Amino acid sequence: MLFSSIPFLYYFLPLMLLVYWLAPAKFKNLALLLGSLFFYAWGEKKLVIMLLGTILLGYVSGLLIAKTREKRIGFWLTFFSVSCNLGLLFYFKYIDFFISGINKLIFGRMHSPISLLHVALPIGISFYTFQVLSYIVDVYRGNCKVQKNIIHFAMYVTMFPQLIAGPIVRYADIEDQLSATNRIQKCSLERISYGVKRFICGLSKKVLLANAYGELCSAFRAGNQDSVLFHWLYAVGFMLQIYYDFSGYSDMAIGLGHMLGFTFPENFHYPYCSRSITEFWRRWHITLGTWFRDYVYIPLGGNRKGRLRQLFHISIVWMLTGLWHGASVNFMLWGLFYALLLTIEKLGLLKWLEKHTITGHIYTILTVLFGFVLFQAGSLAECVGDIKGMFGIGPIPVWSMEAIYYAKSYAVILLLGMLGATDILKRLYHKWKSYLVWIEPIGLTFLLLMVTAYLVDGSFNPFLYFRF
Amino acid sequence: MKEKISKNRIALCNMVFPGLVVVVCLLFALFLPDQNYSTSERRILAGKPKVTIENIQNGKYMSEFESYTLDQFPFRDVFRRFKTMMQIYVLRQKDKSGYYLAERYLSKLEYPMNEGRLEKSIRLQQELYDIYLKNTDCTVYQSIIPDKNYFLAMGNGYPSMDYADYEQRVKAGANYAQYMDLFSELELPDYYHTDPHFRQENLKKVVEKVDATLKLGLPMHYHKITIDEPFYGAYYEQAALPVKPDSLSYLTNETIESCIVTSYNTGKAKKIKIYDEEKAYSIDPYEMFLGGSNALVEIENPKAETDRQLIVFRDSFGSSLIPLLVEGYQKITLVDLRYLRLDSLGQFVTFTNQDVWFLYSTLIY
Repeated sequence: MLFSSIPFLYYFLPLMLLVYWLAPAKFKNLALLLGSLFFYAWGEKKLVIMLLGTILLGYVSGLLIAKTREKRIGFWLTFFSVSCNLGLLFYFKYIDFFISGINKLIFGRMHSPISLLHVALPIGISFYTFQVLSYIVDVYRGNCKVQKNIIHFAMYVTMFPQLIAGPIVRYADIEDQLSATNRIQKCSLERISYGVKRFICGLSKKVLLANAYGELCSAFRAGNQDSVLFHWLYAVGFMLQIYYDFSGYSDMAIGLGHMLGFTFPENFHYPYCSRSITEFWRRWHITLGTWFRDYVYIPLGGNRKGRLRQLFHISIVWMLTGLWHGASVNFMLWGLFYALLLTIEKLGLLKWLEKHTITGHIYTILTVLFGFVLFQAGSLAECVGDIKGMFGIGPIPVWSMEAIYYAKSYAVILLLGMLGATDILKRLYHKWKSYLVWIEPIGLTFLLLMVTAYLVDGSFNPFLYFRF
Repeated sequence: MKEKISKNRIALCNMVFPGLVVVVCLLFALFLPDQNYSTSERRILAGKPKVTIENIQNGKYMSEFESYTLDQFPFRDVFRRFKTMMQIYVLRQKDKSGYYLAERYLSKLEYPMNEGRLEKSIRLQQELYDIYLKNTDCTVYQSIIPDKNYFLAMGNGYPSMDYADYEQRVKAGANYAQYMDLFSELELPDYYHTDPHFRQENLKKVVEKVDATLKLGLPMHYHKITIDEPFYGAYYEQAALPVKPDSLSYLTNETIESCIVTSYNTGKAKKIKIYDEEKAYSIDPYEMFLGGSNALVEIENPKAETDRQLIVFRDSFGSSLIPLLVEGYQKITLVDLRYLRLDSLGQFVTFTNQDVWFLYSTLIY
C-alpha cells in the first residue's frame, strides 16, 4: 500500500489511528503490529512470510547473543545471524545480478549457461534487513538491551510508517519508545499536530512535486526531439524528483511516527544546499550514511589505520552504498563515483571548498546532478548518451520545440522545487511564524484537498525508493 | 499560559481541519450509493470487488479495491476540476494529462507520432488490398483527416507531430490508391470546440473535393437542423477546462432522409436511422451520425440515378461525412476495421468494381 493512495489516506490510516488510540496501552503495540502486517501484506502477500522469518531470526538471535555475548560463541552467533540476514538479502536482491556477472565474466557475452532465477524482490527488504542487523550488532556490542517481548520486537521491525522506504530506524534509537506507556507519557496534542503537519507536507512533496518531475522525465524518455535543453531539463527534473520523492516519504514516515508517539531520526536536511560532497552525504539519506559509517566503515578500521587504508575503506563503503540502491552496475559505479569525490575532498579539496562557498555550491550541485544521471540510466550506454546530450556532443541541437514546450510547461513547478530544496521557505516561515501559524490549519487542509484531487484523477504515482 | 492555550488551539485545528476532510470523505464514500457510469469520463466505473480467497491470494482484490476507491470517491468530478485549475492556472502547466485549451478549442496532444500504430495500419490496409482488392476492378482512394492539433498545436507552442511526414508515409504505404488530400480542405473552425470531430455543417469544401475527385455530380443542397441542447463534446469533461459548449447541427435533404440504413453490428441486420436525434440527447451526442460505433453499415439510396457503389473503410469522422455523399451512389458500405476482423470481411462485402475509400483520421490511423 502506498502512503500516497486513497486506500491508505482515507481507509487504512484513519482506521489504524482510531484502533491504536482507542486500544488500552498494553495492546497498542499489538494493534500496531497487526496493522503493519496488514499494510505489508496488502502489497506483498506471499513474501510476508519472509518478513516474519526475518523477525523470528532476529528475535531468537538477540536472545541467544545477549546471553553469550561475552563468550566466543556470542561472536559466532552474531556472525551466523548477520550472515543469514545478508544471505537472504543477497538471494532476493542480488542473485540474478551475481549470476549474470558470472555468465559474462566466465562464459562471455554470447552464452548464459547459468539461468537467472528471477526472484521476486520483497518490498522494503533493504530497509528492514538493515534494521534487524543494527539490532543484532548492537545487542552483541552491548549498545542496547535485548528485547524479550516478541511483539515489541516484531512491531519495531514492521512498523508501517518506516517499513518499506525508511528512514532506517536503529533499534537503539527507539528502544525506550517501544513501551507504549513511555510513548503515551511523552505524547502531546502539539506533537500529534506536528505529525499531521509533517505528514501532509511530505505527502504534498510526493504527489504535487515529485510526480510532476516524474512526468517530465517520462516525457523526455518518450520524446523524439533530442536537444541539449531537453537533456538538462531531464537531469534537473530527475534530481528534484528523487529528492522530493524520498524526502517526501521520509517526512510522511516521521509524521506518522509522531502521530503514533514515536520519534524517528531525520533523513534529509536540505542536501542541495551543501557546499561539498562530504556535506551532501551528511544531509542526504542520513540514516543510511550513518548506518554504513557505524556498521561497516568504523568496524573496517575507519581512519585509524592510515590514509591509504582509509581511502580503501571509503571505496568499500561507497560501493556497498551504491549496491544497496540496486543490483546493477550503474548503482555500483554511482557509489564509486562518490568514493572518488570524497577521496579527492579528503586529500585537500574540502578545505579549499570551505573557503570558496559559491564554487562549492556549484560544484556540489553539478556533481550530484551528473551522479543522478548515472544513477537513473538504464544502462551505461544510456548514461553516456545522456551526458553527451547534456554537452551537445554529436549531431544534437541546442533546443527543440518539444524541449521549449516542456520547459515552459514545467517552469513554475521546477522553480518551486528549486526554492523548496533550499531553507529559504523555512526561514521565512520562522520569521513570520506568529502570523502564518493562524492560517496553518487552512493551508494544511488545502494541501490535503489538492493531493486528494491529484490522486483521484489517477495521476502518475510511482515511489522510486520502493525498488530499493 | 495564554501562549500555551493558543498553541494548543492551533495544534487542535491542525489535526481537526484535515481530519474533517478525511472523515467527511470517508463517510460519503461509505454511505453514498455507488455510481455505475461516469458521464464526464464516458466510462464504466469500477464496482466493489468481490472478496474471495482466490482474489486476495492473487492480489486482484487489492488492485480492484484501489480502482474502486478512486472511481467511487465522493465529489470525484469536483476534485478532477480542482486539479485541472491548479495545474493550468496556478502551476501554469500547458496541458492537463495531454489536454489543452488554445484559441478556445480543446484538444489533446498527439505527440510524438505513434509510429507503431501507423505502420500497423499501413500493413493491415496492404493485407486487405492483397486479399480483397488486388484482382478486382475497384478504384481505390486514400484520405487522411487531420486532427485538430494540425491547426492548433504548432502555432500555440504545443509540440506537434510532422504531419507532412505522416502524409508521406501513408501515401508511400498505399501506392495502390489514389491519394485525395483533405488537409487543404479543412480549417480549425470546421471542428467542434469541445470534441475531436469536425462539424458536418462545415464540410462543404471537403464534399466538393470528393465530388470533383470521384466525379459524383452531387447537387449539394442540404438544409441545416440544429439540436436544441448544448453539445458537450468528448474532451469537455475529460479535460475539465473552462470552455463554452458547442451546438450540434446536421445537414439533410429529401434523398438523405429516404435512405435505408442497415447496421450489422452484431452480425445480424438492424435498421437504424441515418441521423438518430434521440442519440443527440444521449451521453455521446456525436453518435447521432449513423448510430455511432458500428462494425458495418449499409446505406441504400432508393432515389439513386446511378448504380455506383462506394465502400468506405473509416473511423467515427466518416459517420458525419458519408451521409453527404449518398446522392452520388446507389449504395454505400461503411466498414470499421476496429470492430470487424479482416478474415470475416468477405462474408459481408463482395468487392467487384466499386469505389473503395480508405478514410481515416490521424487519431486512429
